[in-house]
Amino acid sequence: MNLASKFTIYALLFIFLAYSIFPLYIAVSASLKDRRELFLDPLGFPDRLHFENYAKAFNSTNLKQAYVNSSILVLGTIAGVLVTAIPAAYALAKINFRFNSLLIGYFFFCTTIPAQLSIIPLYFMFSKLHLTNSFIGLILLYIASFTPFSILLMRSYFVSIPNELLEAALIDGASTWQAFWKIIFPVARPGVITTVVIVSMWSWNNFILPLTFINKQNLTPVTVAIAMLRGKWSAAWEVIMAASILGALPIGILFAILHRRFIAGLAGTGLKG
Amino acid sequence: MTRRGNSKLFFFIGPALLINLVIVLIPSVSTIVLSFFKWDGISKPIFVGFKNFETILKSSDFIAALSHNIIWTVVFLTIPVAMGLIGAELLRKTKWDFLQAFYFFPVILPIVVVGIIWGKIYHPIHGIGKYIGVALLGKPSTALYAIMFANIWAWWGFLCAVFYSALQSIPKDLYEAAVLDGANNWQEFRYITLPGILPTIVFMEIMTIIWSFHVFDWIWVTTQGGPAGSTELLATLMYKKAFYSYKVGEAAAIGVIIAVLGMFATLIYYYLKKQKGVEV
Repeated sequence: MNLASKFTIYALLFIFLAYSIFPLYIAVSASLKDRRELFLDPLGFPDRLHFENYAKAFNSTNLKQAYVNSSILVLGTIAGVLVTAIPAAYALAKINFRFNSLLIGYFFFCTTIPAQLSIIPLYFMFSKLHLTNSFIGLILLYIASFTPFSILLMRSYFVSIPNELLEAALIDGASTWQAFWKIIFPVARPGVITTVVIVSMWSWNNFILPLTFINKQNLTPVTVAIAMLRGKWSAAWEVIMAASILGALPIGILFAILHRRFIAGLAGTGLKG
Repeated sequence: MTRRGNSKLFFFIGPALLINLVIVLIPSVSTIVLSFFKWDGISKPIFVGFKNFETILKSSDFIAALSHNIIWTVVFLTIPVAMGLIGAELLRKTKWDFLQAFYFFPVILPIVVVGIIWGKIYHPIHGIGKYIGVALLGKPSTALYAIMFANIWAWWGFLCAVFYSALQSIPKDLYEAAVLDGANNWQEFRYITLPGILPTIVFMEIMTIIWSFHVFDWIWVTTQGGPAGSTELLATLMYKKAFYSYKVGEAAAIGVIIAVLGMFATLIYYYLKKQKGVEV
């Protein structure tokens, strides 16, 4: 390869990198300026680092409460998804029955239909059942929304476990249940972790469901709380930016540690099996 | 299968299926039913046949939203896919795959957060608007494109990772042989990479069509469909009709149309898979 085309290749990769990072730089730099500087020089480096914007974002808004709310939602959703999706994924991977492939097709179909198709009747149904303004209600919605993907993802890991391993255990007198926990689960652990990571992200990031099903301020999760901030703090971009960064931080940290799992789970070939 | 086996099977799949039935399948079917009724959410629904669809298809709001959605789909079928292909091919050539994580990072951030950040970037006083003299989100002629540009930022890295992952299954010696035969960068891409990951590209294009009609968060946190309806998409229009103007039947009709468009894309996919032998 000649020098010119080598240069072009690295230049392109660098442009992509700059494109990916630039908005984050804008947000971080704005969150560290005072309001005067933000007005005079909205895009440059901050002169002095005003970390107090973060304290203000966390303490003077309802972000603290929202953090607690989002954490409850994420933990509840993870528990619910694991309890329902692991056994289903196992059955679809390892038990032969008549509707096996039909169900796999159905769950794939579910991942392609939008929340919009069900949200209207759900809203009226949940209002009747007093499941609006309720964490349980929202967690149920999250579990239902994320299980189809989780089942397909974990199934692709379960399938790769050799049947011989399972049969040997069964011959040794293990029950299906024992075989599942002692043999299958340990081997499939990476798939389970990947699912947990992705479900955490989706339930932390979700917006349309809490927007629709929660309208009490003390129950709003982080996404809705941040979206509401703009009305109240419309002039205080430094506070809004600090709050936004705080809102993305848990997912950002999770990604920094486990980015391979995020990428493998969302972009890997697992889903198409 | 024995009865014992059946009950065990139900134990494994039952919970997932039950929650899916109650929260996904039944409400989705109910939406289809609701689309044939006139309903304000409170009083008794009145059966009106296809009238909601007629009203919707004749309204200029819907036509505008649909055409914005079509522009959105066409842009997302081309630009981010091309960027993802270029990115994946260059990562392969340079083996700098650590960059993948940086490209992917915007994908996993909450759309609410990145939507607000882009709102600040485009802001007429607190962003680039100050320097270029245009409020990109405030002008009907630019707002939709400005949001698309922001959404592409948070999207192309996903496609890049998908294509890069698909590339791993192409045998390395194909590239080595090509280089020995004197193939240039473009020929390597055109005759090895592209056919090698074509099924993945087709799959992502189909998913792009489906997902484009679901876009809601990006619009809601940046412009809420404005200015002057210039960024209204089907999903936001449906949401407003259902929860702001209480035309539940019309909203349901839009929901059905969104789903039908998605199913149409899925049918194309299965057609390609069966007829043209595109294997995925």
